[in-house]
Amino acid sequence: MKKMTLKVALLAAMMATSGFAVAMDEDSYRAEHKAATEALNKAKKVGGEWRDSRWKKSTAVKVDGKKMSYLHAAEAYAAKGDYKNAMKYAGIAKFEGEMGYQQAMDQKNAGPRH
Amino acid sequence: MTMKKIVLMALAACLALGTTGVYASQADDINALRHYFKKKFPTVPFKEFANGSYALSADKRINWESMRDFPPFEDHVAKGEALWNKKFKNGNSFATCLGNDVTKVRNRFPHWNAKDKKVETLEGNIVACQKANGEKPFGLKKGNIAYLSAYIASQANGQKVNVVVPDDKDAQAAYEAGKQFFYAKRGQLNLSCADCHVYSAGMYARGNLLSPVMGHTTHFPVWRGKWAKKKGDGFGTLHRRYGGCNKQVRAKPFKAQGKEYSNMEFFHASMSNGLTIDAPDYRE
Repeated sequence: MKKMTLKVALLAAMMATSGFAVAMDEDSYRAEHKAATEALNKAKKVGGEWRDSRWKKSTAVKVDGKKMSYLHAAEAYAAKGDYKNAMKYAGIAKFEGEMGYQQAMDQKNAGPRH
Repeated sequence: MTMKKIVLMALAACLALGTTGVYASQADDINALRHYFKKKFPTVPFKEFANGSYALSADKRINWESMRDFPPFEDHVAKGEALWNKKFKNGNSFATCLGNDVTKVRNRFPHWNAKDKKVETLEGNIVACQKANGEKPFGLKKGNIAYLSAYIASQANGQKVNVVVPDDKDAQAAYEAGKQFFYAKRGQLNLSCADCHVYSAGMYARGNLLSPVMGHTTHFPVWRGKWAKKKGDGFGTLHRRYGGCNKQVRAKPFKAQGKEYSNMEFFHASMSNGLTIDAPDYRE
């Protein structure tokens, strides 16, 4: 009986921990998604958004046979509970937003160099 | 010292300090570009730049000339003529907005609209005309808008491009914005329009021979082999091409007939001043 109780307790603990981990992953993903959206909005304001970050017609990533942008792929993976991939693609979208903004700032005074 | 001498000295001082010519004018840009391409392609006569990359490669030119013998876009031009002649429901037509003499339409665009403080393009005016007359507007990149634009352009063939940037600070700002757009690197590939069509003109990007910017706008709308392979009938407007170029460097394309592309058309078409309109045409 004692052994059985221990097993049940262990199982309960494992389930609780995994639930906690999933919640943690989800929170991290939501934060990353928010940061990506903010970075992309900032890039958009200066005309520096890139094609595959979140453009509806992008074909950068294939999820379940459907082609989409990095941010949309992040959302698709999150909807399936795959937060590892969701984080990965939200991170790429965020990086592209930051780079697009930086690029537009660097090119603000672009002109001929011939 | 006489008044005449004082005025002359003041004028000379202004010129010396550059206070009268700080703005890099359209004429300066055109001259600089012509000089650059003359040096880069010394054997290509100026008027040949209207033919794009076909002025640079004999092999490509043979293919282009054979396409022009039986142009795949003749039907599209005929469709455009029918659209030009068709009356709207209210009895007006495109001629009501754009002028009765179709031969004088294409070469007025792009131009600066001082009242609305914006660059006006031919395709933008076509759509504005439809809206003003209660008609459903065409799409902005292909189909009817390209057919009508092609017919209008074909009626101006042989005329010389002459885009004027007026002495108006807003017009000059729009021109400068278009110029900045053209020279700014963008997208994941970090490439500008100029990287391909100025600095690398005459070189190959995969199988494509990069055309010089000078002459680009003389032959639009175009029928492209690449577009014919996709959805549609191969025909498209200049702003469709802009969107395609932006996508190729992995930048998010801007809206056709939006401010960004219209301003760029203002600059871009200016760079073809003096070249002959020959539209529509075939491109790879």
